[in-house]
Amino acid sequence: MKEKDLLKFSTAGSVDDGKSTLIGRLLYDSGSLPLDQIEALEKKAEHKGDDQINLAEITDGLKAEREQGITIDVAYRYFSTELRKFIIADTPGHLEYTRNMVTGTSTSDATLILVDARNGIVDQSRRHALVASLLGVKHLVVCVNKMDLVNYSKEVFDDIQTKFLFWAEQLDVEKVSFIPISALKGDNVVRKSENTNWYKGVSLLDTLNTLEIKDSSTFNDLRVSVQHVDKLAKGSNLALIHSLVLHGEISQNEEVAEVVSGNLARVNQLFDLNGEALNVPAPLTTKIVLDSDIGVKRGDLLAKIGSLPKISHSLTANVCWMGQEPLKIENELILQLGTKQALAHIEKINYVLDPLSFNKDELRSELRLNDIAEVKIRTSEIVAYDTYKESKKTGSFILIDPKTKNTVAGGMII
Amino acid sequence: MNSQATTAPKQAISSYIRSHLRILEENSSQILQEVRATIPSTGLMFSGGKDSVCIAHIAKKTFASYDTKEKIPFAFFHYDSGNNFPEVLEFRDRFVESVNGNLVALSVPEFSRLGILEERKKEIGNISSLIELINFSVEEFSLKGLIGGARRDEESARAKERVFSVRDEFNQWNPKDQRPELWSIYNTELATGQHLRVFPISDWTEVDVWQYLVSEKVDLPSLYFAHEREVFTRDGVILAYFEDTKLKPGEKVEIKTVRSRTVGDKETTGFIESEAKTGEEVLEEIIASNYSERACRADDKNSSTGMEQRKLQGWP
Repeated sequence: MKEKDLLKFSTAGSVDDGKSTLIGRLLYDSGSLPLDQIEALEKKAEHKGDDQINLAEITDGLKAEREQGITIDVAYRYFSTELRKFIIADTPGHLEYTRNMVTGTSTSDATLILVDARNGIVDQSRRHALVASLLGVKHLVVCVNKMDLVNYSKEVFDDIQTKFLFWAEQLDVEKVSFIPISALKGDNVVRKSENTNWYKGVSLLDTLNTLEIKDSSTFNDLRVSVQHVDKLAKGSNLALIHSLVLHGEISQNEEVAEVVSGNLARVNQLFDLNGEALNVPAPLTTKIVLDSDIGVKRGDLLAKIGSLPKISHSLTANVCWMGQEPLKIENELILQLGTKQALAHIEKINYVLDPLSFNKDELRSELRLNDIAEVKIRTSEIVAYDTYKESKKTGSFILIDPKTKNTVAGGMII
Repeated sequence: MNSQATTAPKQAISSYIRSHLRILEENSSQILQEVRATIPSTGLMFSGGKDSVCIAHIAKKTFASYDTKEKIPFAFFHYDSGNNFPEVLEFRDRFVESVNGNLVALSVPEFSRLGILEERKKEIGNISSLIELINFSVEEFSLKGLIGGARRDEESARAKERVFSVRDEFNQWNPKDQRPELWSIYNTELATGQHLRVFPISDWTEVDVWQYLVSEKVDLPSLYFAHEREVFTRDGVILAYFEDTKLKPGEKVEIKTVRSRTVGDKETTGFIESEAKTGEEVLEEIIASNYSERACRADDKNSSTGMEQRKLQGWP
């Protein structure tokens, strides 16, 4: 059986820039759309007297959304090529759904930014690019859409590219690609188009097929997050530690430390999903038996002496506030970092970031829905962490409202 | 200059662990472990269908303890429409026994006889018996978690559902106010009256499930593989013929070599003509063909909002 790798990407765009059409086009042209779904869409088009199926309907899932003609929540879509399985997180473009965009982008390796060739870079595109950059997405793919409506003009495309790059200098992304497309007509989506002979790059699908997937490979310090601990047998003080290797590789016989207590023990036995193993690398789950009982419990982090993460009661982080109710300083919250939970509160709002001008409002005393802010958080217990730049896994957390139990913020540790 | 020789196997390992099936399996395993670690009293929906078998197989590997005989820490819940294929029920029993699991089999006719479902329907209004049975079991067994095999590629309403999906005290899903689900951090906290439906194979496609089950050599009900059967065709869907089937004018019984892509109700589970007798052959056919599996279910054909409606009422 052919082994493929897995690329997750998010899409973001304004209401009318054709994002749903583009995804529909990707699925349709790459042959990933089931025949019966095509038939259903054809029937609908026929009914309405349209000559082409409505590609946008492929992804606009919920009835309420179809009625309003907008995408409310993240919709996940799947397609495969010979090389890769793709997971698309299709996120809404409206300002009031920034939190859904953050949700969809948090697990993405790349982000597609859609720009309407007629309108150029608009506020939505900037906000999306900023969110992607904050969430550590390394690769932005800017699709300049509706090229058919500007006569496939190289000048229009070049102008958008220049302006975007000038603005994007303030962002922290490794690579930005630009592709002139027409989602409606199919230009440069799956195949290169003859309408844009001046464009020297590859089609969108080929770009996605060849994007480098960066994950834990750049951060190799051992980080093992403990999910659950089982006593091995009655009377025994040894335990089976069900956990997740987030970074690096854990090996039999090596010494590991429980980070917060500093207690050390040696790895006696290791298992992965297929049985006993000599070593288990990230990003696999593992079961560990240590040679002595050092009181490991859910929420703990295991690492190696010499490359320990930071520990503290106090964190500085960028957060996106997702709660309907505004956050006031001193509100009690539950912080969840991986499997670790601790009571927490926001001690200080350093500033709220304007995602368009990058202006910092340092005078705010509360956070409102969709605000992006730098805050100082105090936790009731010591937590172990890395910065989000070092690790998306040990540098990210969510905040939970202890009353409603809703997730009210996502945070990235600075 | 020996570094080449030592790095080669490392690369092979790293490409193996990066393969999409392995990643999907690991993610699902992590999710199951989170459920066990944080949600008391959880059921695993198990119909004997391939998606539930896939999850049960991952659960088996996740909770294998290697020295003690640890069981899967969830009871197997089967919601029986009363119209199941006998070979699927037999498979269900065999599978649950093989993993030393607890089976809670609840059937619609039985609960109808007791009058329980009718009583509830009077209060709630018209709702499918199967959905009501699921909701009933959540209350009756005080379940805080119910694991299901739904996949996001199946249907457009499912495409938007979280892995850990909150249901309110009326068992309802609120698609407009879902908890944000960031990174792989799962919020399993519950407010009073809430419970979670958990979908560990959300990110798998039909092809992924088949590839995985084939590569892991997992057994499935015989319905999934080509066999000769008495069938008839209704509204373009090939359905199984039984002695008590009432044919409509013009419908005739034929013997065809068929297999099913889903297993469910005898009256609505559609078959397709196929010669695929093994998992490998089925996989080849699926990759070559282009029909999504829901198209073979008679109940979804009517309306494109069918699933959304059912989900709002409490369908997993």
